[in-house]
Amino acid sequence: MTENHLYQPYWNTGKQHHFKLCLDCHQVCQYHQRYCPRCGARVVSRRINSLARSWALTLTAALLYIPANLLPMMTVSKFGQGQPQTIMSGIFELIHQGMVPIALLVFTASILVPLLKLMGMIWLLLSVHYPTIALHKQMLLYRLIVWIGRWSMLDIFIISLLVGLVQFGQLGTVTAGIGAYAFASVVVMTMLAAMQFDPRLLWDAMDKDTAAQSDKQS
Amino acid sequence: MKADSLQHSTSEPHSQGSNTLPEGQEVTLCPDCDLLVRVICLPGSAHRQVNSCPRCNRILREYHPNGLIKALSWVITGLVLFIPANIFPVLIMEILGQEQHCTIWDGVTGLYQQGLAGVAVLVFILAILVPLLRLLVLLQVLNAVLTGRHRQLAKKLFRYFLHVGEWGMVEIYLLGVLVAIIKLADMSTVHPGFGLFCFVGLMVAELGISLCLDGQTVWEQLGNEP
Repeated sequence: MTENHLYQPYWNTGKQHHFKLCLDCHQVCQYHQRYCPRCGARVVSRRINSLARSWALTLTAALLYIPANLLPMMTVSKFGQGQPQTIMSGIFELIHQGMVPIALLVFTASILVPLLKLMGMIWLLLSVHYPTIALHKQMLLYRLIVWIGRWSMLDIFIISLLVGLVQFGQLGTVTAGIGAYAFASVVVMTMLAAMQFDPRLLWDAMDKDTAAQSDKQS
Repeated sequence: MKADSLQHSTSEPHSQGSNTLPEGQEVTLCPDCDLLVRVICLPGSAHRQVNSCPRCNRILREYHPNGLIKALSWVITGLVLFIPANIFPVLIMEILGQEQHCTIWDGVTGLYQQGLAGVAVLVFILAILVPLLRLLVLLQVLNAVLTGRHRQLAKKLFRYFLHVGEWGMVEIYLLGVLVAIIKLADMSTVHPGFGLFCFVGLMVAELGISLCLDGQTVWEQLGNEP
């Protein structure tokens, strides 16, 4: 670590003082300890390969988002007739039947939330390379992404329930489509991408940037 | 309340990264921004206290009086409700006199039979397996904390609990049931089954656990060697 005598950081960080945090039990460990003395987990200063894993998961999820929306999620058939429904056509179907609040809920959970997570993660990942001053907003966004990610599973659970329930033969049958696979993968991968991302990297990048700028000024 | 961030004054020369902690202070690092902070606790308080990071506002520690006992009672409630929630039907649908019962497990097998094996396994893990494992692990861990036996096993289990716990989606499943009821309401008559009420109870038990269990307190109790 280069020591710049003109740059005095206002905050003390663990990295400066050669401490690292065990991610399982939050025990403060010394830099040289490989395993946490309290819980036995492997301790690292920053999550291993956080950026690479997070980028890979986010980009894969973004690619899978296209078939998730184009391939049908489920088919409702009555008397032998039924249209395969994609996410969007299912939402339009709900609007046609007059259930607008439910349509809005499904739209939010299945389209808005994954898009927010994908774009939000890409912005956060880019900010590690190009630090901006919006760090607190980024922390809020990160926490929002982590919390809201699971709610996209709503559509998958609805399909599971309908498939289990509506099996009346000719009177009405629900079959699930392959779009559900793609959509479930998108949700799982965006959740994993948010979990693998280490927000401390954002603060590290900001500290390095501030140090470099005060270097330039001196 | 904000934890103390141990800031040094700007008039002091910057020391070259010391390896020793200041004496007699309980310091910890913020998991979100790596700040060195000192947590503050007012002992003997009957109310819940929360410590948050001064820089990034992440919650560091919570102090609940009697939190562990409360959590144990919620865990037992959840376990008692888990079995009926999975045995009894969640929704009952009727068309022209024909009745169809559906439990959560039926939803999983339905997806499996239609060829979506991966999604079936995923729903099974998220809605059945993870909630059960959370409750069982917590039962063992809280037992270890309160009686002091089997601590090594409890330490191993509690590590996995914190990671796996993020994948429990009971409340989302319930929202899905609600949407399914409304969606099917015009097609036929749909009744909620007994399993649904037990499932709601399970969700309330999980909520109760999250409100009164603090991971740090458990680790401190587990970590103390007798």
